[in-house]
This record gives sequence, C-alpha cells and structure tokens, in this order.
Amino acid sequence: MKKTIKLIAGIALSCFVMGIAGADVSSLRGGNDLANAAEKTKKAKIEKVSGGIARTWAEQPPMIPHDVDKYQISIKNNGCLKCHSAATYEKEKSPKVGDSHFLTREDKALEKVSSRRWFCDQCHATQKGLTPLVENTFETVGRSD
Amino acid sequence: MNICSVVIHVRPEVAPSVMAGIEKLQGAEVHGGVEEGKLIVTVEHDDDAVMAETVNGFTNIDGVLNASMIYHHYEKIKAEQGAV
Amino acid sequence: MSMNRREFIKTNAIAAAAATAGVTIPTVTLAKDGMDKDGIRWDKAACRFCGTGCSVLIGTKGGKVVATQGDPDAPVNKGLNCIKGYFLSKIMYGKDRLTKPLLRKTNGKYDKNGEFEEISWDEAFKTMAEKWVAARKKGPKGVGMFGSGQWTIWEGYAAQKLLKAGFRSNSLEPNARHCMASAVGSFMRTFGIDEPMGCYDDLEHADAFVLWGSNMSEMHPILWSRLTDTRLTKKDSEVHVLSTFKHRSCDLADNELIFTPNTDLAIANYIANHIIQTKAYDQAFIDKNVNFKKTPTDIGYGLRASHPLEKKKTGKGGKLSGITFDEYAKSVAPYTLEHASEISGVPKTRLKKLAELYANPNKKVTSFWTMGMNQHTRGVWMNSLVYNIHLMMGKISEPGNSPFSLTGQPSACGTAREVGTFTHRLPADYVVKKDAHCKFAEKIWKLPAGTIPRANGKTDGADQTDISGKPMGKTMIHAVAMHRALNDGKMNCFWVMCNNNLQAAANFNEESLPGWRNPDNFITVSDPYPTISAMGADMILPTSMWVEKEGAYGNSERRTQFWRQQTKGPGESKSDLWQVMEFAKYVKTDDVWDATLLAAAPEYKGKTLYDVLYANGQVDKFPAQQITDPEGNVYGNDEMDDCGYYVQKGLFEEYRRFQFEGPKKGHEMAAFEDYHASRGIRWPVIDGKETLWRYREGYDALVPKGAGVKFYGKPDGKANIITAPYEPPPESPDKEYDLWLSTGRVLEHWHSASMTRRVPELYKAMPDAVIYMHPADAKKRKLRRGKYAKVVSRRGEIMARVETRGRNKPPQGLIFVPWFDAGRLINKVTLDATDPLSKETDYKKCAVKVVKA
Repeated sequence: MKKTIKLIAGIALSCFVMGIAGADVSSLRGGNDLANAAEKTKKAKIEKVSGGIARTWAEQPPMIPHDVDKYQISIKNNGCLKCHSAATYEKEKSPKVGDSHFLTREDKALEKVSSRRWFCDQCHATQKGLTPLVENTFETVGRSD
Repeated sequence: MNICSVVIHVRPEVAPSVMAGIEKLQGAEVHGGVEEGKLIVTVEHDDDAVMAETVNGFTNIDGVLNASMIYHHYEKIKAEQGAV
Repeated sequence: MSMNRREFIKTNAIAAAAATAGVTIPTVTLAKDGMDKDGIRWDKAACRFCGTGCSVLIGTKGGKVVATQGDPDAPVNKGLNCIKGYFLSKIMYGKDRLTKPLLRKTNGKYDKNGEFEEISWDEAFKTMAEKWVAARKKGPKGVGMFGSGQWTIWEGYAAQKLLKAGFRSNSLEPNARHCMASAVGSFMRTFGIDEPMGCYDDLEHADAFVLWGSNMSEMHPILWSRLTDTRLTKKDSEVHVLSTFKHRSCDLADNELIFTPNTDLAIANYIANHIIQTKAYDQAFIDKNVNFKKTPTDIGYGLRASHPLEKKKTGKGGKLSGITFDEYAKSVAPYTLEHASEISGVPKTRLKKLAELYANPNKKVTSFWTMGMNQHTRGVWMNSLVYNIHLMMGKISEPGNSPFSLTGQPSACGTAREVGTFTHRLPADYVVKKDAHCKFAEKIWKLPAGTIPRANGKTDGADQTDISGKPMGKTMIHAVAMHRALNDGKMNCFWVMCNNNLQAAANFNEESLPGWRNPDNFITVSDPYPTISAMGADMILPTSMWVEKEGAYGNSERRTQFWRQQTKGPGESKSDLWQVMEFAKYVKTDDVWDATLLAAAPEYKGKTLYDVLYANGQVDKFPAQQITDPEGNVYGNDEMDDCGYYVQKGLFEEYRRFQFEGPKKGHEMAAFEDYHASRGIRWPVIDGKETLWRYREGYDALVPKGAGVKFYGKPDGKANIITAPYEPPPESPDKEYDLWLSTGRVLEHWHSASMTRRVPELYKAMPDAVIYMHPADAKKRKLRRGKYAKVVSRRGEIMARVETRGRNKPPQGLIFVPWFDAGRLINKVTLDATDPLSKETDYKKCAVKVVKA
C-alpha cells in the first residue's frame, strides 16, 4: 500500500499527536513549518499526586508529586531530606529515601544518605500536567516482589 | 520485611564448624569470609524478637570471638512502591 | 538478575557487612546478569547519552526492553544513573518510530517539493546512488556525509572507509566537530596525541576541582555525583566554578567566578602570570618536559570570507614558533590581578583564590571543561592556556592532578576521534595531510596507493587524478563549511546519520535551511524518529538504534565498552552499519574512481564498493556464530544475519591494525572478545593491562624505565606551553542587540531531545525551552516570568517563555536558552562563527535583544 505523507507543507496541523491521515511524518513541531516562528504551548502546573506517582518499572526513580520551589540543595543543606530522611520520614509521613542511597561507591552502608546521592534532582523531577507530545509504547510488565 | 547483616569474628581454624552451627539457627545464612575468620551473615525473620534471639545467640557458639550487627532493615510497607 | 525487593535489601546487607569486615564476596552485586525469575533477561550496555559512559543493565522480555537500571558492577557509575539514563528503557518506544524508507515524490517520481511516500530499501539506495555518483563527478566535495559521536565504533569505521576510500572524498565530518574539535586541536598541538592523560579515578584522588565552562551537574551528572562525594567527604577539598552565568554546579562551589564572555582567556593568563610572579612553578618539570611556543594572533572568526571581520584580520592559522621561558613570562605579564578582574568582572579575591589553588604545590587539582571552553572562537587557545597552568606546576599525568577535557557524546572519543571520522583524520590519529599516513591506511585496506585523497590532492609530489580527469585539488571540508557549500550549491549530496544537524547547526535561517532546501541538493537523513533534520530532508531512512544492534562506544576516560544486540528494530528499520555497507553495494569503483587508479588495481574494476571495502578477506574474515552471554542466553545480530559473517568483529579487528602496525604508539586496544567480557577497558591496553594515567612511569607501560614523565606524542617527548592573548569575540552586545546569548543543554534532555522528549516523564519534567534571564533585565523590558518573549538577533528570532527564577541564574546582560526544543529552534538566532583552528562553532556567545512577544 502506498501512503502519501504530508510534510512541511505550510498547513498548520492543530494536533501534535500522530496517526492523523496525511500526517504520519511530523516532527515534534507538529505541523508547524520549519521556517515559521515558534508556536505558543499550553502552560501547565506541576502535578500534585497524593500517594505519589506510580513507577512504570521496579527500578525507576520515582517522580516528585509536589512542588519543590521551596527546597534548596547546597553544600550544607538538603531541603528534600527535611521530610525524606531516615530520621524524619515517619514524622513527616513521607516516603523514605531508598535504601540504595545509603551505600557508598564501595557498597559500604552508611547511616546517612551517601553524598554521591546528595543532589536529588539528578534523578527525581517534578511533572508538569501535560499530555506527552507523542505516545510512548513502553510496557510495564508484572514483577514478583 | 526484616533483614540484618552481622560480621562474626572467629578463630580461622574453627570457622567451618562455627559456620555449620550458625546455619542451624533460624533465618541465618553465611555468605562468606570463612577463610578470613570474619563470617558475613544475614538473618531474616519477620518477628523481631526471634531475630534478636538469633543474633544474640551467635556469641554463645564455640569459637566466636565477637559478633557485630552492621545493617538492619525493617519495613512494613509492601515492597513494590518502596524505593530502590 | 533476580532483583526483587527482598533480595535487593539482603544483597545490600551482605555488601555492607562484607565492606565493613574487608571481606571480598565475589557474588555480592546488587544485580547480576542472566535471566531472572520474572523471565526478564538482564545484560549490560553503555548508556546512549553523554560522554560519561555509564553502564546500564537492560532488562528484556518478549523482545522488548521492559526495564533498565544502573550497572552496579560498572566502575564508572557503580549502579547510579542520572534521570535520562534511568529512562533509557523508553527511548526506543516513541509511537512515531520510522519503519519504512521515505522519499519525497510527486506523481510517483522523486520531487524535492513533493510529499514523503514509502519506498523500498532498494529504491532508496538506487535513487541515492544515482544522485551521489552524479554529484561526485563535480569533485571530492560534491558529496558529503555528516555522522556522529553517537555512531558505534564500527559504524564510524565503515563510514570512514566508504567516504575516504570508496567515494575518494574527505567530506566526512561528525557532529563532534560542534562539540570536541577545539579539545582535539589543543591535544594535538600540546601533546601530539589525542584525549585526556587522566581518568575518572581523578575524581576521588583530587583535593580540588576547577570547572572551566562546564555545568557537570546537568551535563555529566554521574561524574558530578562522584565529584560531590569527594567534596562532601574529603577534608579541605574545594570546588571552583568558572562560568558566564550561575548554574546548578554553583550549588557546590566554594569559589564561584562568573565572568564576562571570552575573558576566560585573560583569567587563565592571569593564573599563569601569578605562578610566574610568585615563582611557584616546578622548574625541574619544566626543564625536562616542556617547550615554549607562541601562536599567530588576530586570526579571524571562521566566518564566510566575505564577512567584514574576516577581511580585517591580520594573522592566519596556528603554526607554532619557539620562544623562551622569559618570552613566555613576558607574554602573560600584562595579565595582572587588576587587569584580569577589570576585564572579566570577577572580584579580585576570587581570582586570587583560584590562582593560589593552582600555585599551591600541595594541592592536587583536576580541571574539567566541556562546551564552555570548546565552543569558543578561541577554543584551541583556551584549552592550551589551561594545560599551560598544569604543565608549569607539573600537575599532570598523576592521580588527582589532571587537566580533563570531558566529551559530550557517548562515543565522541571512541568513534569520532579514535576512528577519526573528521575530514582531516584517519584512524588512530593518522591524518590525510600526510602522504605516508594515507599510504599506511591504503596498505591496511588493501587499496592501491593514492586511493585516499590527500588534503592537498597530491601524492609523491604529483597531483591525484579525480574521476573527472582533473586534479583532485584541495579536499578537506569541515562541518560548518559543508552547510555553506550546500547553500552555495557546491555540495549536492549530503547524508546525515545518527544526529540532528539541522536543529544543531548554528545560523539555521541564513545557512542550514537554505542549504538543505536548495533545489540542486539531495539530502538523506537516517534516524529512528522524524526529527527536524528528517523534515528538512528529501529522503528519510528508518534506523535501528542503540541496543537494537551490537555496539561499541568509547567514553571520555578512554574506556571502550561493548554491548550485544538486545532487541530488533521496528518494521524495516536497519542499523547505521547496515545502511552504510548496503549502500556500498549500489556504487561501483568505475563510478567514482579514475582510470589510473583502476589500472593500478585491475582486480577491483567493475566491483562494488562493498566488495572492495568490506568483502576484502579481512572484514568478512570471521564466520557467523551464535552470540551468547556467560549464562547461555542467546542474542541476535541482524548485521551478521544479513552479511553472513561477524561484521562487527571483522571491522573492529581491521581497525585495530592501525593501532599496532604503524609508527604511532599509544592507541592500543584489546581484542574484540575482551570487551564483551568486561565493563570496558581504558586504552592504551599494553600486555592485557589498561592504562589509567598516561605519560608517567609506573602508570603508563609505554614510558620507558627511568624516564619519569614522557609526552611520547611529540618526537622529543616534551609537551608545549603555548602562549596566546585575550582577544574579543566576533559579536558583542551593542545598543540595539544589548544582551549576550549563551545556548546549551539541560539535564533531562539529550541534545536535540529527539529521544528524550518522547519519554513522557522527561518531557513533563522539562517540556519546553525557556529564556533564563536576570529579573532586573526582565523588568527593564517589561517582561514577566512565565510570559512569552522574543529573542531576536541579526539572523533570526524565536519565541519562548521568560524564566527569572529557574535553575540557571544569568547575571544582568546575559540570557541562556537551551537548544533541545524543536518547537523553538534557538539556532535560528545563533551565529556560525567558529574557531579558525578547530572549525568548532561558538554557540556560547552572540548578541541578541529580548522583546515582548
């Protein structure tokens, strides 16, 4: 079957999502021509999810289900650990930092979070309430405990 | 889930027999260190009291010089949502 | 690995006890290769993203990747990943993966202005071959290929052979030109051999770290985690951060130096001056190991020759001339603390603190740099100015004392640099400028002498003849010049593979887009996804990516890492390796070689380039075999199935001959199988042992006994201290365009984000590019945080939201805009000025204004 696919034709497609007839090939600009000015996108707030955002596979770092503007990380302070540290999580009713985070590079267990994991934002991020530009077909498979 | 690990110092010459003694205890398992005379042991038991009893029992085994707990993990929550 | 929660905890418990007792339990790893009880097969692979070269474990089930995690056995990352690395599991599963070759057509025929239609691979390569053979008749620069530091080693090597030997064209460049070329240029000038002398172990050995234009926190997160670990656990350790704006790495800085763009040149010279004035330098080290040189100055900005700035320049090139220590001292003498502070805007106390750190013989210092220093119209100079400091103090080639250039791409070192997929290079640091090097390559490749075009088109003093019957002429053309040549209609065929150059190259409006859409040109883009480049092309080839093929990458610390093919690419997609080799079947030697060359090798007459380059008795030497891991799991190898032999092994083993059979030493790698069996090995590999620190006795087996230190890349074993002055950038803010623009990357997205923006979590973490600016600058222009504004330069404009409180905090007078966002292409605004020596674009500075949208 021969398919004709539109592209860079100056037709502005209103939708970013794939699968519309004649638009099987479009970049993340959607139907916006390369030479055109940028389009405005929807403004979204950070998703707040009580109970946390479910992981999509067991080893995935969990995403942050709340605002983080108030919390800073510097040489001396780590705002995230105010609630998530071993000492505070019960009182703050927050998930405790993962156990792997207490191990050094040499797998030595520490009482505090290892400083190799000091900057939480290298792995954990907040999520804006947006629909993905393109569907992702990654499948979560069942895992035993 | 209730898991701890213990380092047990023993005289190297009696290490194999101590190891056999340890493995008879409930939930205990030796993972290595026989040659060095420093046995690496884990104990798993959902009941805290049983676990404590097992760990305390180590020093009563002949040839054991010292036993020190290194790591203890306890959690009530179901594992799936727990952080790795 | 069977990593359920309980076992994970237990393994941690065992590991902790074992570490405390100092007992080694070899079976203790957080995860193990093999098959787990959920039916997930786990195997190692190198991360697809940055130059750090983390290893990850890939969990596969039912032919799909269902999980990934940091590889606990990998020395680089020890079980850690950054957020992008963790989400590798999803990068192959964007729903819009390309599955069929596409060609622009009208009424069933190719038409530059037509719409994309599905075609067969056979039609794709027939069409391409016809265009390429015709364009090649114009001369060696009539065709061009733009590859990648994300190519696997054998993909780069196969492409190198196809262009330089097959098509007899040096028009091969990697996107590493935009990224690493200045570092390479300086390595060659200073040490005569490419890539860092140190390794990541420096992260634990150093007492202090200096970041020169590198936001490691976002761009090399795992190295940053190791650096953080050292800073927070080692007494009296320090972190100094030099940047043109405040960013996340400043969160760990003991000394933060925010300088006016381009004045890093003056700062480095001030430090050298301080070391000389205080007589802190290591006289014995200098006497034995260093020569002093100067370089021509006022050399222009790599713009088009017609540009006024190019007409004004008085100097040219980079030919070094010898000077004395006193002359060197005199050249840096003007860079006093007062002068450096005045020109850079950095307070004197901070500059002095940095200079005193370097000058302290008891502090081990590791300097890191990436794009801030490389994407710089004086990038080669600037790299050398930092080496000057380390060389004067003898703080080099030993644990913790390391000037360390970091790479941006997973195989910028392994493929682009080591295989040499640049216009001027051949594998293992050989170059097309040297007749003897080309002859050496021709011998290994079993080709007649004179096949490879020399830089000047001459071999043995005589002209090389081209297919047109004319002399070959000058043959080299670098990345930015390629876009200009497309624009001018001089290059008519362009194949972009494994990168997104239409989005990445500077000056989109004036050079890139008009070049690609020039009616005379035929542009092919190979990619897994419909990128900006794919949209700008005439033909799109669907590509199997990353672990959909067997691969090999080389990271920033000279570590070469292999992986097995884990899954199959979707639809009819094929790997870059297959595409390069298959295309070679559609072109014959007679199409692109002249009669004299064919007469010199009559056995090649009428043969395809595939026959000559790959079915040469070497590349096809290793028979097909079953690929298994130590646990007995079986893996596919699509290229092996298609070719009937172990292609990857044949290419790698032929490539390795460049490291052993020529006059150049120091690039030796281990045998193919050794890499599959390890978590990477750092070259040079001598007698089966990797090298951690080069050029120093005791660490580097190539340094003879009693030599102490030997920079063996240079004939006399000495490195060069090369003096160079501060010079202004090509474009600075003025009354109308009153702000500096710096562009760069972000933690959550990989380069142009064609993979990462298709991962929902990464997209939602960092959806669109924003304009990071100082609140006072926003207020002055009546702009509000979160509202749209336009960034306008002399070349174009884009629109984005203003951010005054984000992770990047520019000083007044500068804005930062990331380039990942296909929706707002910041390279419409940037200037295509390059370092005249390295030909690398300066993406870090041009003049813009910001106005209400």
